[in-house]
Amino acid sequence: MTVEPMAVDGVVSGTPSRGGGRFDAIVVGAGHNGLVAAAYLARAGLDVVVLESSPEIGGATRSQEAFPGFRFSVFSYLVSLLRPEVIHELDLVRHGLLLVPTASTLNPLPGGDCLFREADPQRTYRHIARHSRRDAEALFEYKLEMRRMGHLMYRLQRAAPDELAAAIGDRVAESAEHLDVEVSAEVADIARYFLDLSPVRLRSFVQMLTMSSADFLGQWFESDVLKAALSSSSIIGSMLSPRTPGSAYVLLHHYMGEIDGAYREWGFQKGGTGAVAATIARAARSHGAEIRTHSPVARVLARDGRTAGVVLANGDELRAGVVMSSAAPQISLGRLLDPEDVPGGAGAGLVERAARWQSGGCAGKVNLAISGLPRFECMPEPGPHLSGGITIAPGLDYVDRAYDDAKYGGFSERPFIDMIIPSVLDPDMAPPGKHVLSCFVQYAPYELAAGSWNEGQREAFGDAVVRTLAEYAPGIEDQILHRQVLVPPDIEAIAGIPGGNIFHGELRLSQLFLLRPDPAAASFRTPLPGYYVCGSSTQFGGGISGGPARLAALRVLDDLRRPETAGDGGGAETP
Amino acid sequence: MNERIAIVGGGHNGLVAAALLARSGRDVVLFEARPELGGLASTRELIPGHRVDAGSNDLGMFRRSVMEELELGAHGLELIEAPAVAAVPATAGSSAVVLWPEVGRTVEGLGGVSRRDAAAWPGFVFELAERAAALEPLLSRPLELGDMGRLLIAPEVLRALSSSLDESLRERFENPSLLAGLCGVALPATGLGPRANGTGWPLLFHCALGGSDRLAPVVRAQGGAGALASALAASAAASGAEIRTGASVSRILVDSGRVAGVRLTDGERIEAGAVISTATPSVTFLDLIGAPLLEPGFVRRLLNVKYRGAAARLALSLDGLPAFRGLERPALTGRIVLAEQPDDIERAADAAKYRRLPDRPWIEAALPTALDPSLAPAGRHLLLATVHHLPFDLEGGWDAGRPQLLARVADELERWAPGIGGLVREHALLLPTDFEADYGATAGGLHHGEMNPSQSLWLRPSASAWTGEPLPASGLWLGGAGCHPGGGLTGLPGTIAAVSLLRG
Repeated sequence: MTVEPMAVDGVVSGTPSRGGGRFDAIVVGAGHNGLVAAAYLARAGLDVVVLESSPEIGGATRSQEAFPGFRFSVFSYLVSLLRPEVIHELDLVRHGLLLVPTASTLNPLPGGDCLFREADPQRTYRHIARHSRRDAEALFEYKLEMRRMGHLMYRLQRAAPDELAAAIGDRVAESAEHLDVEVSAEVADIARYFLDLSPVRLRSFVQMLTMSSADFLGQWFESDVLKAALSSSSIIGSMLSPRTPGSAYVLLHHYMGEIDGAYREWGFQKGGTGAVAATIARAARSHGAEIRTHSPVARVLARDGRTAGVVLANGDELRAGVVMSSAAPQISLGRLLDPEDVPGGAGAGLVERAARWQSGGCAGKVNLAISGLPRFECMPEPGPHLSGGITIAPGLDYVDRAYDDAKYGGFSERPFIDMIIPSVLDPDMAPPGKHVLSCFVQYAPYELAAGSWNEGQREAFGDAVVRTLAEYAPGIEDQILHRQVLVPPDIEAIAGIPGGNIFHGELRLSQLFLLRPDPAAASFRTPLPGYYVCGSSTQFGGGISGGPARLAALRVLDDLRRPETAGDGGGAETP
Repeated sequence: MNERIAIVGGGHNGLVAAALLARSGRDVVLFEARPELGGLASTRELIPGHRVDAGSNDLGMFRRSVMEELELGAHGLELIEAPAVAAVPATAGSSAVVLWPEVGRTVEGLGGVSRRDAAAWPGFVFELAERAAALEPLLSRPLELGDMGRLLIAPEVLRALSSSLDESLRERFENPSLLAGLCGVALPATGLGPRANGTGWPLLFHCALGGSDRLAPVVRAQGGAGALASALAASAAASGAEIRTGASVSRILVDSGRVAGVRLTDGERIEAGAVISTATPSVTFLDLIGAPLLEPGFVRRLLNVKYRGAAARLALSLDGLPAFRGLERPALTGRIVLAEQPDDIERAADAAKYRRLPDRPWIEAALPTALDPSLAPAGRHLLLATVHHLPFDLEGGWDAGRPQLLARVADELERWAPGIGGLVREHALLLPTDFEADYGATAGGLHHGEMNPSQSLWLRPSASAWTGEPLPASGLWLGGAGCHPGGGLTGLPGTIAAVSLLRG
């Protein structure tokens, strides 16, 4: 399939020629994290270039006019985790950030029933009480607890993991010896906050890192429909069912978001998520960063045991003392780095561990152009439910069976679907009277047992999605004008994410904190001085957050100010 | 205050606690509801003339130091180490694999199956032993807060807690029988299929407590697992402990926040200043203490303890040794894993989560008479087939499920050991419901609480607290499999309870 580039002023194609190819810093990859990293470095006065292999910027955060007049957020479709500090520090609102909150979530159920959660707590209470009065009561308590937990997680994610471990280690004694890190007052604060939690809350937190979301939600609720509805956030982007241990953490990950201070609000960006990337690109360019598409990087260049620049696929060399890669570890640590270049013989281990990184994709995207608004059996008339999220997850068994299909190498015959109708929120997304329907679908494994994905299988998967939608919105099959079916190999090919995992790697204990993306690179520094990682596969994890890149860029700037540290910028000019 | 210590439950953990405390000069009385001691590690004449182990019969994880301290040898315990750890027979489409404690012997056998796997085996055993050795101390004593910091920065532990056994084994091995064999060692009574995250943990746990520089060997007691209980009881009695069988505790008496003793079902009241309960957390708190004395938050935590991982045990009296394809007699002495590939176990776990019987159950079989012929009359052999990953609350109920299960197990056994059906003379079957009714195993869970990472380490109750929160009555201690480090024939929860109590 082809993807039309979306214009961002000043983004140019090909190798930069300026200044003989010398920069202070080079950022590999122009997804939202690469762009955030570049913006922070440029804002600090560094001469920065972003190199993107594909024809356009955005990575998995992109919009596309897939069919004439119909615009889609190709992959990622909602924004919640974008860090407020990134928005403010990069002044993203001035550069075009405009998030429209999606206020409700509708879960259609078989037989024309539904579960509808609205912004108004009283109405939500009434909806849920129809299924269980006890659950309607418990929801308030649950939300409060999740807010606390999400806040705790968010605080832990705000610190570079090595600093955090050192600070926590200091407090629990004797374990911090090998962590030679200076801990800032802010990080010490976070560690104190964490360790001062009550034993019950601490237990609950540690338990959330390991248990299944079905078990976790079972502690609060009795009705299957509410548990299934709430468990949606626990499987997004993850090869997990709500009953798989570890899914409770993914749930928590999605409770770290806010919009304009409104906790756990999800928002739709006018113009689709591509406009978020464009906004960050504008901010980066406003500080002088250069952004180049069609510029695949072949490898990182090292001289005398430290970073010297990059070599492009066409053989051109660009020089810089700092290189930041926003790619997944298979690329950043596996492909771009020559193990021979890494001092101390650490290179081979990096490559070996990168190969073991768990990042199989499991989600597909089915984008539909439709002739009119869908009529859901439970709420046939147009109404506020159409401007919110709509999720097909009618029960835990339903979702688990969808997962079972994928576990053994098939796509889900009756999939989990999380959809929005962007054209209701932003009429420019579709021609007048017509609409776009954006369906995030699980499960679609990267590899099928029957062989690799082909057109026939893609279409069969698309058919399964439409068939499932028609169970809840009869007649929708006749409203479809165009259909775009994207599966993990497409995400890999278009967004450059190995395996097509939207988080650049499963969110699980063995791939978080000090182990994300690798024990030797969890401080954003790699064992090759001057070479850093800053993508979704680093601290803070996936989602359109900008959190990893911000922390990574701050670490780079900090290292440049203190050139005696391991990751000093060498040839780069100190701003 | 009354100095007497009452112990609820005469399973191996209760007996270990009784023996250790009595040896330290304490006044101990132990109550066991059943006529025989040993609980899930007891031996019963389920088939006339046969000594049938009801539950676990592998003493490989039981602390040797405790055996020595309690002089179990002098009290009649004789150990037999099985030559084989685990074996997977061949089928029409798969090859036989035998895992021996000796690395070289295993490599030699694997060579004929997969050169790659044979080459990878020594490194696997070495690394596993190394990680297990690092973990072992944490499983043998109460956990401290500092341990948490240490574990949370230990990559291999985090990997074990959050990755799936299937994926971590596939990084090294390719042969389906070998993969199935290792899953069969790790996953009994866990309730989790090998593809579930967190299943790296049970294997590490097993190896940490089977502890040595090789794959944890299978160790059996001469005369059946009940011989361990007998030796423990003899040791305890020799130190002055009173042991009462057929005495069922109906209540742990609490007075002004302190335990005051226990009451038996026949109304008898025994004063005690301390009580160690080895029952499951649900039974201990909800049945024996009673919800009215508990904080609502505590009750909620109790109700959320997961007991999945039910199993059924079929005992067969056979006319001779069955012919498992591709396995010689020494290979039949350890666990015999009847699964061709990890997904056979995964599919059984799938069925259980939808409350169904698996179409093809996977079976952990043992032939205890291959090591100890005294367990059956002359000429007979005893086969214990444990069917794991069963739902406790089977759809349609176990009355209807029982014949179905028997039929499916018979089909499976016939597939793996052609002709076995003709050897069967008698049988006895324990269902998940029997494990609950007869042995107090809540929901049939053999580990007194699922052994998944979210119910392990700090997340499992300890002898005196539940994650930093003290137990609801002073003088109350927990010493069963439901608390740290968990289930299995280890004696550790009982040991930790006794040690904690003595320390005060």
